[in-house]
Amino acid sequence: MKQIKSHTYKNYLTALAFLAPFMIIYLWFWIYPILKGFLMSLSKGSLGTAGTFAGLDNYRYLLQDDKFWSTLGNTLYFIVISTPALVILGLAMAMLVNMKLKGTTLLRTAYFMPYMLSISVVGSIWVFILQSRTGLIASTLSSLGIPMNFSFFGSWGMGWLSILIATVWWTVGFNMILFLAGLQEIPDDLYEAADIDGANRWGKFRYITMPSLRGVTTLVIILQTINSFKLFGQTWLITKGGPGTSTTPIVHYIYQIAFRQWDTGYAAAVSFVLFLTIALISLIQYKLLMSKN
Amino acid sequence: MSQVVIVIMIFSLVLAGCSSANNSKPQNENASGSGNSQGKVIELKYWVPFSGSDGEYMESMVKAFNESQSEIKVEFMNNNWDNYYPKLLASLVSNAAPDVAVAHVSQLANLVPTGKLEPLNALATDAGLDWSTFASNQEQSVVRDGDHIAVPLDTHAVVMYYNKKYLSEAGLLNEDGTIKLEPGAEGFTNMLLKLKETLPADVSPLIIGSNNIFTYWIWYALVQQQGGTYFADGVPTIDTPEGKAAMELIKSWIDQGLAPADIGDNSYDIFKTSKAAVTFTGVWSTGNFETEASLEFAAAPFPQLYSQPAAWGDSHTLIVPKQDNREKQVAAVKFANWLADNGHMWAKAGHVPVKPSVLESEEYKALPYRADYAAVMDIVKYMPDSQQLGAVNDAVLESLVEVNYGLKPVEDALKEAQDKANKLVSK
Amino acid sequence: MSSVKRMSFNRIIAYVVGYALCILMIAPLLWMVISAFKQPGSTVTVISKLFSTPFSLDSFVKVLTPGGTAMMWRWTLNSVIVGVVQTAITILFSSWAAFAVSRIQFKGKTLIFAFILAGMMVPMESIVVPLFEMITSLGWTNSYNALIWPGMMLPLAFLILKQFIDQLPNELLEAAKIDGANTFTIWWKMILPLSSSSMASVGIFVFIQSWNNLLWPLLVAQETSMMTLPVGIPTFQSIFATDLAVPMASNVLASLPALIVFWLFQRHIVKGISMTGIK
Repeated sequence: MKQIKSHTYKNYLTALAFLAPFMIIYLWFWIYPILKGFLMSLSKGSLGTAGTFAGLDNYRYLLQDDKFWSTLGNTLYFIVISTPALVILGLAMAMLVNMKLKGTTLLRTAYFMPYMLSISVVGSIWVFILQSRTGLIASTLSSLGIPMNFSFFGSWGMGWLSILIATVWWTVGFNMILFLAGLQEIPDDLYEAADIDGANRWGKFRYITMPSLRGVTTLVIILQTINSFKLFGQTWLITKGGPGTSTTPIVHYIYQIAFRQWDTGYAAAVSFVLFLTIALISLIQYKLLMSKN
Repeated sequence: MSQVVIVIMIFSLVLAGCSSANNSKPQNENASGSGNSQGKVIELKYWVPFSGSDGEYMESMVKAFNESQSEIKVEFMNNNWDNYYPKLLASLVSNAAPDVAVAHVSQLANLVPTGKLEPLNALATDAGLDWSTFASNQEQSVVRDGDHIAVPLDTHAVVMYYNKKYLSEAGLLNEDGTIKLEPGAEGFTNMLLKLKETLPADVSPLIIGSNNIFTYWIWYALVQQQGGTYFADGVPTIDTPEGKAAMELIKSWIDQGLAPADIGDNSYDIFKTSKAAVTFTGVWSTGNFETEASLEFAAAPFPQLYSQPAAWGDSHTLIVPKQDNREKQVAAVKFANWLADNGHMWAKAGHVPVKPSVLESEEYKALPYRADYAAVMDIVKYMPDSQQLGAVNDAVLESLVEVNYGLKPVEDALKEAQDKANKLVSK
Repeated sequence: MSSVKRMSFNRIIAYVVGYALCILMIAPLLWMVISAFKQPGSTVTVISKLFSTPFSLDSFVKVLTPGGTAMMWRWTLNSVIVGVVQTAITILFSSWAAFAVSRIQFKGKTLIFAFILAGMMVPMESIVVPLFEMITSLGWTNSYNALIWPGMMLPLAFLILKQFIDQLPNELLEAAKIDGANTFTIWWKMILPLSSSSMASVGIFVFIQSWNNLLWPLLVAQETSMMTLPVGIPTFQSIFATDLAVPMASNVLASLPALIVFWLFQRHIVKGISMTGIK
């Protein structure tokens, strides 16, 4: 009896010892900020100056803040336009690499390399490529005598197109790797059996590849969606959120509220809403993933 | 392998530990006045938010100051521009501010409420600073409640640059190099139209940032030129007849093909590479334009298109945070005064010195173009004192840019801007 | 009989598409590198002129010369310090926690597991504002502390390592226990060596994320000397410069460490990412 008790006690201590370092940082720098953020959102304050309690005022303001809704809409728009592109292209690249063509390592490297770059480098490269008049595309075309009459940053749609191009170039490699892992898990005999049955390429794809990849695809979509919610660097560096607010996603707006309007209370409120949104979506998609399995 | 991993990890933890220890120190040094009163060197921490060549010029000025005397040593600390003001604000509030720091006149409204800016009249006497040596427009801009709360350093405004070659080809250049310009908005537009006739197809008559803050600055200046206001009694006045007229003018330039739409920060490049004849940009571009040998340009004050002369501008000033060590504060004011006296060095960055004596000096006059800017100082209409200024400016700019891109008509954009401004101010 | 293999039509299409994509993906990088080896101020935006203007190392020299407001060396050092320390701490602490949750019996284990897992739903972006306030009140702004402690991807590393440790054969651990090893020795002598490869993979992945962080370092690194590479690089694109060569040179330099890591550890990186797929 005594031994079991001391054994359990010892286990608690040991577990505590192993968990403590992790937990200290986790609680202090991840969990506590959420709570603090929520508290901040209930007050009106600016950096450094003490906030005055304001109850749900910030949330009330949020509901009728056009810019909040438009930036939220921008974020959702970006998710809608980027997810299919990133998923489909990622899958296509994975399949190409999986075909083991000549030089397949080169292909895989080329597709993946941009992912290693810092966002600042990515932003810099694409600004200089897409800029109107002085960008790579514009200058080259005009030197050939072809005037470029549209501008990549010039309108709502085009602004997002430029963000899309930069984002796809930058991150598709990540999806490719996930799909590749998924593809390599599919046993060859499935395909061989299909060959024997006389299935063609499309049939094999549709009835073997796609179902087998369902788990990975769902995962990729989840990760992609969450990442798109966090969009900040590309808009901040390439379009500066413009023209107007057309390419300002929600994280960019939080940045503006906190560091240009100096309204930390309201920024915390929008942050908290963002957190809830992402949490909700993660949960829903997680449930979806689990149920599919 | 795992042994190596462990060693690396332990090493990193030690590093993390060391950096924690090292980093808790500097914050405390500023807070209390560490006595330095025995003829030892007074050390000042000096914060600036300058990127690019501005930073380099200021750094060399600090060096020159340090070498010119041995009582005061200034430590130059450059900061990221983007969140300089939040950082400065936070440091003021938490008593961890530097001994002297740069602040724009337009930002003083945000800093004054902290109550941590030292009023300077008394210090100025001790430091030998005479307010009357400063240009009056600039000197007035730093007065709050009857005392000066900052030392002006420079003025930087939006002016007009033009490509002399293109202008003269279009017959628009006078003998003395000034532009042949009929008065008023119409006269200016006509000049642009005339340019369009003679310029090559890939060169624009006018280039302005249609997707960045320049649109706002130009609009602001045009509103002021009509005698309009931006804030009246603390309330934003955006949606006004003057506001509409100003924005309609800008839009008309774009519509008539006189200025391209969708121009961001590359407006400098475009003028610099002679792909545009006229541009409105800050005085700070001069240094940059000068590096392009093929560009023959001249600068002029922002043209008067309406009833009054006015230009957008702001000034850098130096603030002295409150602290116990009065000796350091006096030293800070001396340093600020020295910077103002040596404005010809700062002028290399394109900013206009703030002391008329410097403007008259040989060194200043020797700098090309700079003499033309001096006139600008008097017509600068500073932005109003408001804690919401930055936020309102951003909101207004967003709406104005939409007009440039044809996404909204002028009336709707101004109305939207007014609404946003009202909301921000009443938050 | 000729041994030339006739490729199927599909395969030909695959080659065309595959290499076209390859070119599209690499072209911007190539342009960046070529532009970097030009004199400051050269025209690099007209493709036909790309090879006719002289090559030079001047832009690199300009970028690397310390002084003024460019501090490439310092920024690189900062990124390295932050990256290495964050990675080490993340892997070490996550390994301990994963071991505990995976192999130690204690009450409330499932709750702890769920609690840590839930953390994966918290994006850094939504806590920057309260974090910034925290850091300011701790007096940590502009310090390595501010750069290092927040933002470590602990839940993810934990999850991957735990799943790996779960899969280790029980017998090994039982044997060690019978031999009288205490828990720490088990971790040190068994878990660590066995999971070192996974730890390396996850570690590299975490390192890359840390290296490429922009938003948080942007907020806390207020003095130029405390910036990390992603924060410092955009300062080369002073809007006053027509210059592309210099920003491109800084881009190349900033990318070198990551690309070197990539070349050396490609296998590990790929593995690390695949492992995030085993959720």
